[in-house]
Amino acid sequence: MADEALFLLLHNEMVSGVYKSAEQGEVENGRCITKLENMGFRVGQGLIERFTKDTARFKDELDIMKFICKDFWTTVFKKQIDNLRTNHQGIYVLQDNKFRLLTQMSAGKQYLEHASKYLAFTCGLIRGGLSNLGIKSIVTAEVSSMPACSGVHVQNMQDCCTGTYKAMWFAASIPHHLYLAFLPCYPSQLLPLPCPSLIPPQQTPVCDAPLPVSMCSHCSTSAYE
Amino acid sequence: MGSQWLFTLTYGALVTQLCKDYENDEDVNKQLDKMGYNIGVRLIEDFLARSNVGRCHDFRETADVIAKVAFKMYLGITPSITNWSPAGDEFSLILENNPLVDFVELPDNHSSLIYSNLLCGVLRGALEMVQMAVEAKFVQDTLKGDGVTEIRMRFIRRIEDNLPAGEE
Repeated sequence: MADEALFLLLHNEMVSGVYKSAEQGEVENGRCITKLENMGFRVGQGLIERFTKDTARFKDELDIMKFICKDFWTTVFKKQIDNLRTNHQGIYVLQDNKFRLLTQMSAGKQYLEHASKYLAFTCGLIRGGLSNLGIKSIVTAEVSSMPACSGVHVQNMQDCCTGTYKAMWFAASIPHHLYLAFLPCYPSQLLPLPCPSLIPPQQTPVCDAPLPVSMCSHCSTSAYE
Repeated sequence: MGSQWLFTLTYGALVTQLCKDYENDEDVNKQLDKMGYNIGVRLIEDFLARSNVGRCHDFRETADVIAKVAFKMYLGITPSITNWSPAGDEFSLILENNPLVDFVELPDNHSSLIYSNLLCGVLRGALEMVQMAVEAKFVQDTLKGDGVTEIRMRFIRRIEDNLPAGEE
């Protein structure tokens, strides 16, 4: 679709632009990721507002996630999420086997380390959409090939428990599969939330055991440093 | 509809971010133009692949293709072409409505911001790749209270040397 091509080019240019004006280094990289994520957040909020104006009220959290996976994803990326998994305790994993923002890129290890730059906006998009549906969340993304994914997510959940945002990237030979580990932290009432610029991390209980489920439902807000 | 919103909203987020990053409107305008240029030099390939238009023989043909094919394809609108210069090297694109500015209002402290300046860069970059050096600029803008949005296109010269696309 033509308009998709235009959006892809705009997105890539935005990523380049953000990094061009930044210096090297890990702190700068974090700032750039945050910038892109925040842009995605604003867009996600706006999009969800327009999409859901005429839809019926959502029954529950799972209903909202299905909406994100089907309608939202189709409108934004012209396809549905391929696989949705949940532990029914607040953690959702959205799997896109052919993520549109990456399919244009050539496969190769040297590229993979830059994949996070191209995922930040989308993470924000989801977080923003959920935010306007009354769900506070932490959204992280990984790029990996099919067999390598399951171990990766357990680690991500633990990191989410400490209330900090970490982009975790794993080397893989095929940068097509996108896993969005999405973690909603206590659904608040269904009112649009103001867009946070920077939320200071609150005290969160530390997970005492590396369980793949349940601990993260105690996380407070999504904190971006 | 949805993907149009996505582009419009993303563009809005971009302009907002640029206004934060750069202190004055002039710098934002320049940055939008540069980014547009980088998009344009790539978009032309996509356009030529999709549209199957042949080589344009003159600037009038170019104008038609820009308005009736390109704008329609990427932004869903068909601007009208008016105000040809006697020499046939300048014309205006009139946009009754500009999808980039849906739901957008310019705050008072950004009166010299050319919000949609990305478009000028895109036109410039794309045409450069088909051997045309042009200048594109906004002369009317609904965001600033004008009745329509008008982009003035000026043909500068034909580009003879086939240099690879330069990025700015």
